[in-house]
Amino acid sequence: MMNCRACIAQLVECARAGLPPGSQLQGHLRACPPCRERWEGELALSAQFRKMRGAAFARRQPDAQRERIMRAFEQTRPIAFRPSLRWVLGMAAVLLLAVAISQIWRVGQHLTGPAKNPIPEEFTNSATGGAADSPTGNTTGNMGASGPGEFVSNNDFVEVPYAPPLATGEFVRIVRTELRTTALARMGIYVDAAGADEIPADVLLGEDGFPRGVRVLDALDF
Amino acid sequence: MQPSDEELYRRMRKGDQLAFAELYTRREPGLHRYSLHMSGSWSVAEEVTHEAFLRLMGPQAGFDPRRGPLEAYLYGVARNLIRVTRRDKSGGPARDLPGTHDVLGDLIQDEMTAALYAALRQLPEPYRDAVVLCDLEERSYEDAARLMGCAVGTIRSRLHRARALLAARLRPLTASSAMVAK
Repeated sequence: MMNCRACIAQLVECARAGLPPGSQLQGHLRACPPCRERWEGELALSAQFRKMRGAAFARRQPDAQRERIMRAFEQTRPIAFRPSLRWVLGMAAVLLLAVAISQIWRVGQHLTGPAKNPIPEEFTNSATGGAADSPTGNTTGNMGASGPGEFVSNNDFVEVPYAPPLATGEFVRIVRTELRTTALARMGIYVDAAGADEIPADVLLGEDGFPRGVRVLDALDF
Repeated sequence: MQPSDEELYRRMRKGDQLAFAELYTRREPGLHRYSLHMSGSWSVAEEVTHEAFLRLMGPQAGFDPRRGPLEAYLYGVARNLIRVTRRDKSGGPARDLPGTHDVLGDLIQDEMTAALYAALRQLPEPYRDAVVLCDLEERSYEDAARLMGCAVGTIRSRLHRARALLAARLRPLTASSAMVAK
């Protein structure tokens, strides 16, 4: 014999599915008035739910609602885009920062970094230059108010013959290196190097990179 | 193969209107009916459904696919909005429900429907959710459990209990309806 608890569990599912109760359940319902009452209540409830479902499907104006929400989507679309726009702006800022840093780095390299030996290879024995006033071997400066010829002679430089003259105010660079005596001779500067192939010297370069003067150094100065 | 709700949502967030339209077509009818049954009011249902989709497209949409399906999120938003509406209006009987054709039947039917909606509104929210999803939306127990974020057995027991409460509330009306029918 089915008990009330099992009966109710089954009759709820039967009422929901719209199925008639099985023979065992029918037997219990005939013998148990409370369960029969519950069964009738469940049937009425299911019937009412069916009507409510039908009504919910029937009375709608979905097109108007749809138009309304689509308009809202159009209007809010820029807002939806805002995070990605923010991301793009962020990326642009990072890119600008990177360019600025690279520019600063390049300028720094130009001013303080190891420079290529500006003396043509044919004049020097090796590519490495010695130190002049700075550890890198290069010194950059302005001639100031003094004339170009004056600057060369006042600093013990021997002018390189036939080289274009320095302009007033032109930036010059002094590079300390070892020069071959033959190269010096080709420049029109004859040095008694006591048999040495190369001698230490400061070379004065104009802004165009051409040598304008040479200052021969003692071996100890180098 | 149809794109998932979550895929449509992802595309929608990038501004794809077609994706939004498809998502709306797919989920709006069910969400509207759910809101209607939960609130007992057509106007509330329309506003709640509209607002739920507005929130979905807004910049502060809190949907996270790792926390559950999009449908559950939409139902959750609707549930919260209805809760707020109920708090504001302190829940009178629904007045804008559909009628039928027969005058006497209409009166009884409206009374029955209004009474059932009133009884539904008085149910604890988890019970009401179970009735609306399983009986009015005809969702399976598994679907309802997924949307509610609970176990299938929990949904079943809530539904049985809720139906017992509702049947008890409707009994006097059912009896008078039977008398009219005779």
